Amino acid sequence: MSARKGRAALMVFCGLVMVLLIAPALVAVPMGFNGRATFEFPPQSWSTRWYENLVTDVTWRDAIVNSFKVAAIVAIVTTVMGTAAAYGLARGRFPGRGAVMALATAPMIIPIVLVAIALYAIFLEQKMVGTLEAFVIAHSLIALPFVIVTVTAGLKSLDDGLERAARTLGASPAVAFFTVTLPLLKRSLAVAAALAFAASFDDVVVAIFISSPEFQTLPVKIYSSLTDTVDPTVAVASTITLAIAALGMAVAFVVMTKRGVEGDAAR
Amino acid sequence: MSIVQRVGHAGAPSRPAGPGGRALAALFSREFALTIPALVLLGFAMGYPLATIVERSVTDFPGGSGAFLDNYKWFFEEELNRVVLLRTFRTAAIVTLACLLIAYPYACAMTVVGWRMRLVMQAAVVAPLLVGTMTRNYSWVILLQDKGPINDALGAVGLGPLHMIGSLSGVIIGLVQISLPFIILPLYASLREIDGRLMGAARSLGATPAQAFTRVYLPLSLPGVVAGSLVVFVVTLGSFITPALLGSPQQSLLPQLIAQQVNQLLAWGRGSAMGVILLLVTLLLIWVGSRASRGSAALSGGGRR
Amino acid sequence: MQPDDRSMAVGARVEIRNLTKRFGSVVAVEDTSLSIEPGQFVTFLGPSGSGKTTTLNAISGFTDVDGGEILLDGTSILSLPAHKRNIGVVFQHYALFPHMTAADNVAFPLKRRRVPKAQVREKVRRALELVHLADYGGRLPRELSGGQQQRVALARALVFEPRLLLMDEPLAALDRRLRDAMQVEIKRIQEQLGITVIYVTHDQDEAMTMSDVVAIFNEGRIAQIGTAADLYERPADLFVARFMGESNRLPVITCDEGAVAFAAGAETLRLRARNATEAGVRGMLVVRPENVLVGRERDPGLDSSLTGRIGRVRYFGAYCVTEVVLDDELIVRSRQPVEVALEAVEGDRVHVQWNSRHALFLRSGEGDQLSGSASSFLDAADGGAEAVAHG
Repeated sequence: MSARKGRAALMVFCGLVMVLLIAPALVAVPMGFNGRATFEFPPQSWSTRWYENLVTDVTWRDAIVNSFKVAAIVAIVTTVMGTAAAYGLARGRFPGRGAVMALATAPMIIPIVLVAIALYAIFLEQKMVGTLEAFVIAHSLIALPFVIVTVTAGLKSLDDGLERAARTLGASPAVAFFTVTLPLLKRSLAVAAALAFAASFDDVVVAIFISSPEFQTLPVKIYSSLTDTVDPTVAVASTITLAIAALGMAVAFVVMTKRGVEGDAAR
Repeated sequence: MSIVQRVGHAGAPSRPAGPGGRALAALFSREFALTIPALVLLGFAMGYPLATIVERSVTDFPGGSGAFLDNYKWFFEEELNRVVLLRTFRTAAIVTLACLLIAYPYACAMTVVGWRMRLVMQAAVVAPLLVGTMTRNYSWVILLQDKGPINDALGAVGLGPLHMIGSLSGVIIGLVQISLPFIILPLYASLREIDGRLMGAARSLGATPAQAFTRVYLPLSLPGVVAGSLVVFVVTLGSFITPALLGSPQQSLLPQLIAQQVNQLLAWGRGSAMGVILLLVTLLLIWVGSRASRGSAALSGGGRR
Repeated sequence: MQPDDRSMAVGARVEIRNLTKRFGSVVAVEDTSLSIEPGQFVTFLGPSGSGKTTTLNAISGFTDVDGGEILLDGTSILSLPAHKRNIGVVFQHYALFPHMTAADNVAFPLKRRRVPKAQVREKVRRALELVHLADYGGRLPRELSGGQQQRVALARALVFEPRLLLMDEPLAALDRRLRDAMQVEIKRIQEQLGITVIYVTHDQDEAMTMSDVVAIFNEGRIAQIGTAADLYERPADLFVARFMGESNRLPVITCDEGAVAFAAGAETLRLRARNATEAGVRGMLVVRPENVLVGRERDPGLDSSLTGRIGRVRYFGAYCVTEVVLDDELIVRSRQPVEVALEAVEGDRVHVQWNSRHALFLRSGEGDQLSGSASSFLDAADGGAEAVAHG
């Protein structure tokens, strides 16, 4: 087999993988316009009533509002908390730094079911199941490692001589942090906050355990309607997350393409 | 000009820790203090709950009383548990292997294409992550159903219908697709670091392309392979949603069993013991994996020199 | 800057007393004392790990000390945090804030000191003028060349009129031509402002051309301090002799005052040497290559002479270096202008000779306590351009 043929075969394979990665998610789009409440694909009749349902049905609306509320609070809390911790870990020389770092990333490697039942046990004990507070605490735990890892990477790429320079020029450690380090960390912080938001917004497993019929998040609502009913509103909710994701990708793509072109020009 | 002189050694008493030392000690504690909010969260939301689970696994028994390790004994004595544990491992291994076979060529290709194509390929990997867990699981429920589009397509070419949803094969298909990004990303990050000239060097020293690949490229890519496989394996071991939606209760995996013990049977002790076992297995795997990848990282470092 | 600035920015007197700093069990700086007069340009010279940077960090406030005292105009600064010491620092990699323009970088220390806006603008303008970058204030650091970034860093370290300026290998990242130009520039600015400068480098040429005073650091101590000429012509020990310039070194034993014995093959020669006092001391006879002449005949004007054969001859344009291999394989190098140097063929028997005024005896021992790392560093650093004992 010639190198060219091999390369062509590889690219065909990669094309198929890309289809495998992306295509399944698109199934939700036609399903959202299903005329009847079935899982039939493709739908036999069409309707937009599930879109109306998503907005008018209180349980769906509440679930969406709850998801956004929890994710927003988690994003803010963990970005502040995680940035402080990442900074302390990156700049500090205190004993036990390695242990703290390992601890901070541990939620990533503990099987999520275990995290879920453990938190469930505690929230039952504290009568916090189905509360906003419980969700914020649980999702903050899940999101924190993402923030710490992202901000730590950002700090590593920063020249720590800059803070020293600021100190010699008369800035106290705090002023040096806010005038020099923080502005240079903007991009990492934005990424960290986005990841924290996504980690919270996307969580199903923990949410299933700690939610109550009165307080659900969107993934829990999707999960329960998938297991109990054939409500195509699920597809509508999926279509909307899909649209948001696509929009985010498009923006990122444009930005990166532009930077790529600039990078080429600089070379 | 030479106004400078060495000042005598006498005088100025030496201080073991000067004021500078105190200032620095204060700095240490300030930096430690920055980690305190995160530590409090970790303590309350991870440490305390996990400790509770461990405690329940040795104090909470279905009959109301029992000996210290009874729940663990029960786990390994009950045949169903052993079957599920084995099935869980087998599933995780199959999913990991399948992911690796698909991800390796894809990640290789990402390192050789132009930056525009690379961006597209990267986007294709990241997109499913953005789309969300539930959306992806929902899609597979639709796709894999008995009268779903996959069986329609199979029927059109005279195959099937296959029973996929509600079976382990459905779970594996779903998990492979859902896990792919987790292995492609670390694999690509590691392959990108391999100096492409090494392959040329191997060829110039008389290696065939196949030898150059197996003797040079493959060993250098091992850290990425180990890291990516580990992520997929561990995530699959703990996966709950996909087996619950695509699998069947008759072929459940360990996480489902844990949830069942806690939610339906209210057997906290047994559920907790199973959770602890799952955690220990996961930690063991990560420990072995990190040792393995450290070994091969040292190897690749030596290769680069 | 204007003359009135000059009176304000007049240099500080710096006194370091018995400074000691350990990192774990490693002593980075050991009981070092030093006093610097206002307006002096002092260079800390030494191999890496010799304690010069640690000393600098102790002055700037980034290293706590284990003992000793640092006084600025008679007042201890050790209890002050780095940001209250009011000392200008220029870093090796400039450490310009990448998200601020050159002008904003220079304005940074003024803003920290809450200088009124109008004054900030004026001071920034003058500081940038001082470093000849008046038109570059609006540029970001990445839009400036390495040399320009260095100048902005200098302007930023000077704009708040510190009385002491610390420079940590500030030219290490620049190419040679630019480095030479910047040396002249830094010296001009220092003289214009009258500021005290402590300059850390491991480049001996840089140290010699810029400094009023050079302090040579070795293993946490100051091996010698003095003018460049002092150090070059009268090195206190073998470390200094090896570190400052090139030198030929012949292993000898003193026989009596002013004379040493050198074993040249089978016979023992008596050579005259400065600094030899009592008899029976082992050490090295140090002669600089430029003081060594190579000739077929003995030169009656030079009182010390050895014989050997011509080894390699290297041509450097302005001068050439002739190696003469002595009978026991020791090599003596002579560096002479091309027109003076002997035209010789490898293997020719010749005399290597010098005036004993230029021959200095330095004892082995205290001054030559080169640990393995230090001595190998030196051998690598000056390319073994001294008498090397083979075998």
